[in-house]
Amino acid sequence: MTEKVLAKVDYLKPLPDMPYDVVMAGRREYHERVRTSLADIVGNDRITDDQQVLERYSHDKSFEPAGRPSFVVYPENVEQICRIVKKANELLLPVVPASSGTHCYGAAIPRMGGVVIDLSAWKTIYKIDHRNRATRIQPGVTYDELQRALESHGLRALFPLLPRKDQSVVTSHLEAQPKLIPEFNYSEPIYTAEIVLPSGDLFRTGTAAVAPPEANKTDLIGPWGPGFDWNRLYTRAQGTLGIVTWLNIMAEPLPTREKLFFTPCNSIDQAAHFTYRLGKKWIGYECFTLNRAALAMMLAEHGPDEYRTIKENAPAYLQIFCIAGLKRFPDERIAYQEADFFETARECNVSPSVQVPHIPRAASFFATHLRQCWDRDVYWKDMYKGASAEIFFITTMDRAAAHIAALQQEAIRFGYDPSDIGVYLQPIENGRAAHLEFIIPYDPGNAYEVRRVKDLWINASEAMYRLGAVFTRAYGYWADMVNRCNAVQYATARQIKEILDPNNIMNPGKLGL
Amino acid sequence: MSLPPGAYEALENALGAENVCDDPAVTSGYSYMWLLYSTHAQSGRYRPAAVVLPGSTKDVQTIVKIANRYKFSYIPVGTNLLPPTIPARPDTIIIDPKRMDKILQIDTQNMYAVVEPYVTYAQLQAEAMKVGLTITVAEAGAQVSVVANNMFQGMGGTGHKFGYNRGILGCDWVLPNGEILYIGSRGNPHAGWFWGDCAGLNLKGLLRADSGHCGGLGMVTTMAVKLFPYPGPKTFPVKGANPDFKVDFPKDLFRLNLIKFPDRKKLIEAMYEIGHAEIAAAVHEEPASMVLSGASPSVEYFWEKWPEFMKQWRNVLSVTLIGFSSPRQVVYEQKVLDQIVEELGGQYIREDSELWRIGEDNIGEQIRTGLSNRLFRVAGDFFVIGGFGFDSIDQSYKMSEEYMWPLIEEGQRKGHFIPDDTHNDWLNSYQLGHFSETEPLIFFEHDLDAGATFITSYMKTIQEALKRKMCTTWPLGPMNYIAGPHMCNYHELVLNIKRKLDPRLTSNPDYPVPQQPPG
Repeated sequence: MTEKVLAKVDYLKPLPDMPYDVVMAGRREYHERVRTSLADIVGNDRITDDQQVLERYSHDKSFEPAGRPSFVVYPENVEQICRIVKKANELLLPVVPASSGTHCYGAAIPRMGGVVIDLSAWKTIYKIDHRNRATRIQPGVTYDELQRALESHGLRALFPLLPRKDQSVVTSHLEAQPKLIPEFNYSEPIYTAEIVLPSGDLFRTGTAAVAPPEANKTDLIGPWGPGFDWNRLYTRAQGTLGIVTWLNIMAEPLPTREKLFFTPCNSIDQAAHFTYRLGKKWIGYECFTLNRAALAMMLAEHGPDEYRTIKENAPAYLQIFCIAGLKRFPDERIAYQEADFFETARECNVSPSVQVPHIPRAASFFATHLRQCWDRDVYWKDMYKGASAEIFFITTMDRAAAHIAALQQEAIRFGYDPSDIGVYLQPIENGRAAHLEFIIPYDPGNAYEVRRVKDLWINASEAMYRLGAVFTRAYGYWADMVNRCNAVQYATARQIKEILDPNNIMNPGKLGL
Repeated sequence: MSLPPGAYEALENALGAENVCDDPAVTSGYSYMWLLYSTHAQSGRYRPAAVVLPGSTKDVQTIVKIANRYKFSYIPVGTNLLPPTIPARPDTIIIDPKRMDKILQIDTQNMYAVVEPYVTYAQLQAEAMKVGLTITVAEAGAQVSVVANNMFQGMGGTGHKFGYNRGILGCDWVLPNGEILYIGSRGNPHAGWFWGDCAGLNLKGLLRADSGHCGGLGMVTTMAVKLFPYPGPKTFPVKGANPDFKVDFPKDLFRLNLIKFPDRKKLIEAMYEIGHAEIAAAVHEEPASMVLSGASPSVEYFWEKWPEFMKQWRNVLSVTLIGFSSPRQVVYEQKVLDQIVEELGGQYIREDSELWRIGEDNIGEQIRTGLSNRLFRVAGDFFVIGGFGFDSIDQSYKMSEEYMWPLIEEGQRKGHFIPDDTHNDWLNSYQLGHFSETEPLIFFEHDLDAGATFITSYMKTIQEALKRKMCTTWPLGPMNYIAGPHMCNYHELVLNIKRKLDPRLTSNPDYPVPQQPPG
């Protein structure tokens, strides 16, 4: 047997490598070069690489892993964004747009670094078009800001449920947050948009394509085309296909009178049955259902004890329903819809009331909060334990009970009290479908609980998927979950991404792209 | 017109000889349709090399894969209404879904139906009405394919309430590479058909546009579509027999209003007020030629009545109220409408008048369009001068007045366009008046001169719109090269997507945008 000969290695001989200080100097030089080229576009006072600022953008309220940007820029105009994106293509620098003050789902975390383009200061409401029930706004406009402006024109914004104070209306519309009014026409509330494409070129959708707004002789209302339905392609794209710099969106007549009704239900099936029937009658405006935990999270002002008290007194589920009158014969409108509403309630064996039994302040709370942002510092979902995980998806109301039961099973499996999970059921399009949301409160200071809730969140998401949940807003882990089960969709999406963004600079990694 | 060697046999082997045909007696029927002036003037038209009849999604996948293997092109069709269904180049086959004509499911609770591509609106609506639901029926006629119409536009008579171009839910879409792309909730194998938006990048955006991809990106073989509440009788309430029939909906739940306004501007104001009041299920300006041709049992009847009728029927708005919740809704909405009509100086056409007798079937037309074929009897050929550019009601009016009617009048001076609706369009409100589109109707003889005047005028509407920075008529196929450079070069994005998804250019190669601009 041949004896093995050990290789002789001269450990003392220097490796043919660049000295580390030269490497570091090169990195600093690159960083400075990128900084200079971005500063040349936006000005020195509109770019930062301050570590504390970068840290704020590196994580959010979700379980998604952190990722720090190299720079944050605050451009002043669209031309600057176009130039930044073109420069980013040269440098292969990831670009992540951000418009809201608080981020919740990981979509604005720069997982591959790069530059965050922060548009939260873009607060221009260009136009309120009462005649065509439209308003054209920049990405930094929040719901309260928009609502105040619209009300002076006799209009209202299409609100989601209690948005955060710093929630961007543009982002909310692009991410298709469900609206409180399940009117069929409101599920696609975007008329036209301006988009900086991943190439840095400017594109406008629908009738806005024919000229910039100042030269355009349309009313910027027509949403279709040109060519494809870009509004739909860009909705829920999480900034992977470009940066939206304005939206023209629906605004609806402001009610002149309104009446709220609260219907306690013993089960989600009972609430769903009643809501189905109302949807087919095509009456009312805001309509949604909360379970007792979600209701208690909203109404408790003085901490966990009050939360528990409200939860004990609340019905298992509460449907909230609003009937309103407009400019013409408002009382008659309310009267006929109220009559039809109560007739339906009788047929469904439910008993609506203008008050919530045992919770007297609920009625006034909802009367003032249906068109208002959450006005306290701690968001309602975080009130009970300081933080919360959310699972939401599109389903049908007749599947809600199965989803809830499966989630409760998962909660028990992970040692979590299922009665503390908030449930929000939002019918969409007259009840044709529904947004179902679970709110799982946890203590962010308790590492064990954080880990347990994260495991619960992942397993429950998978369980919901297996029950047919459609995760249209495929954030973070959910994108991997849906992509792995739909290979052709994922491959085709990658092809579209390659065409529009060949250098993959726009929010890389999101949606699995 | 012949396929590459081996291709025909491959199709026969896959589908059965009885489902593949290249007999000219059959294929000739697929080489004609009205309006070919608009898209085939440069390319010429061709008889297809064969017609194939798939029976399933699997069959369609096989056909597409055979086409890629043997390198010939195919056109997936629905019910063959518009020019993109006719070959613009040789060696093209037609995928005709005649055998795929089944309603697979109606979900009453969640208000949708799952249909194959040859299911017509009449077929689906008849079944939906039995369970208290309906659908907004294409104004091209209830005989057209639900799938094709939804991919093209999805417009319909009750679009004021039921919307426009919003009907598509889950789909099975055979891509140009033969793979199935599941759209919306179909992407989750446990979910079913109820939702149209995809998890992840929303590729539904490639299915819909202002006029769809016209078979240029494969074929949708099954589609779920939205249905809507319907409080009427379980069968469509028609009395009499064609050509003399009337519809008869219960008056406490369905009420037609025909309202004459002093001028078109007042009519436009009324449309806005109706939208702001959120009343009505169908709102249309109805031009005289459309109403009279629909009501005419013969072409002689039309021309006999026309001279007087055109003077009487001016600036008429048709408003249909439906009591979705109860008769109380109709009572309330009528009260609101009365107030609007009074404020704007309108006058209801009385139910005991001759005008009412001619126009009263309008309610039936809005709910199930059935008279559109009668439009062809007036002169032989028919279309609109341009239009379809969807924006506000005001924009529709401006388009119509600023450049559409001047072009019609030019055609009339040449003796090509008849008759004259005198600046009354078929102007439609969609989604409670959020959107609108207008269609000034033209009727012309089926000859090349008149056809040339039509298509020239149609193209001019695109050019005039672009020049004025207003919204354009549908640019179909080669017309995208006129509009694209003025509209953010969208045609280049569309073309790049077409090339990526259909690299061999087998799927209706000249749609949605041809590879080269017209010469």
